[in-house]
Amino acid sequence: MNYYPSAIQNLIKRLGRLPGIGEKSAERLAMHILRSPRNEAEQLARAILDMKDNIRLCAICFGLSEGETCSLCADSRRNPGIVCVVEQPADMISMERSGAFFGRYHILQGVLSPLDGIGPDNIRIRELMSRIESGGIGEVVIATSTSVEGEATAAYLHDMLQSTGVKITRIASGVPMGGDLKYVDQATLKKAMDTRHEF
Amino acid sequence: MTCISTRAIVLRKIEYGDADLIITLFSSDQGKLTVIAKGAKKSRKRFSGVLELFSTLNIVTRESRGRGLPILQEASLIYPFVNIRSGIEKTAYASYWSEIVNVWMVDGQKQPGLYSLLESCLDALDQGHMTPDILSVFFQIQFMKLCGFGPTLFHCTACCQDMMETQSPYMAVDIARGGILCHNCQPKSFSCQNLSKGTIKLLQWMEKADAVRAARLRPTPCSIHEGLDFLESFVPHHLGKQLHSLTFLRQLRAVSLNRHVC
Repeated sequence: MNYYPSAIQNLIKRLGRLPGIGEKSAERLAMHILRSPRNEAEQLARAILDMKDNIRLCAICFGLSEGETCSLCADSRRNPGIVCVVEQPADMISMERSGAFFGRYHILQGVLSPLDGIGPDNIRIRELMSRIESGGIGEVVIATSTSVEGEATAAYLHDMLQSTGVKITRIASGVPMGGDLKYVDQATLKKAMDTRHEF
Repeated sequence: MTCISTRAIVLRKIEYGDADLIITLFSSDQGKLTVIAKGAKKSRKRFSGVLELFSTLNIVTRESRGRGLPILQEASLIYPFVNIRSGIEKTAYASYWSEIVNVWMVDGQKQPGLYSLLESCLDALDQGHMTPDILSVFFQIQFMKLCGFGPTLFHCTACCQDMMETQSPYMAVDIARGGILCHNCQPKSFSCQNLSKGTIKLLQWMEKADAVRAARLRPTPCSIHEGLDFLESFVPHHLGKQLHSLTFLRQLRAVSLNRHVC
């Protein structure tokens, strides 16, 4: 790397800090950018800056937004009476891709994690409570992950929301579509059996 | 290439790259192990639903070709302890015990007694045999006894006077010296933590008891509170580290107290 001019060295160093990019990959990317036409490099640089300048958190759901509120919160066709609580914006995108939910979202921006010292004050639980207290919400769907932290966060939210009188539901968990029963762990199978439904 | 097959509890899980996990395990016959589970985040067959915190597993690891971490080859669930994750209080206590073990143990140093203690406490927490706070008193006092730095509870740390001979209903605590002080030895100049005689008896009893006998005990809420307060100062002091999960546990208690007051 030291044989490259300092401008290339600098770019390799910066790219190498990106997740999943090692020194070799950073070198390859830098060489690709060097060989590309100038306007392509400019577009890449502008896209990065545009994203940094324009993306912020939605004031209602704390998802990623270009304005004060995100497109999902501003969409009048969505049911404002149902709120789906997810951990991260990527979880909201997955839920949207499924096409199964037509309500609004609340992104916690994390999950309760005692081992990492992430407590109730470090994620957007207080904001969820005030959103519910302001009225108009009839159901809260808790869609945190099924890991220990996700389940514990769901249990905590359930305890906190009980006094508000809203309907609290939890997304189901069980055997994945296309999954082979012999590879499914016993905890998941037990849960799938406990929550079986009639045909 | 050396392969290790053992029974182990998951203490810690860290994401590594897009697909891998670095797992810290506490095994019955190898002590603490840190391994890498390649492709674990995307795995639907090998590691799906298996590598969860506090789960007891049967694992097979092999040495990596270079100088990297050992690689987790296989993992099968023995006890998933699913009820622990059904409540934040249970998760917080299980995290606290796991963090204590993780901080105390050195890689490759086995301690079968401590392994049994952790597994039996996680099992009792999962089954609901004891309330989490009583169980935490039991875990901490037993942990300190097994690791050789248990508090001196039967006599004064300074003058060795038998504690049952003293008339005072409260004894002062000297965490740095590792025990309690009689009325004559306790410092007069500043206020220090105190333990009632009832709490000292509870701790003495917990130190000698096994999990089954401890489950029959019905201590007063005041003794549990005092005992926890003492142990949660004593253990981090002697480990030499502030524990994240203890901070979390205190936050949780503060939230619960506020809700009761409201």
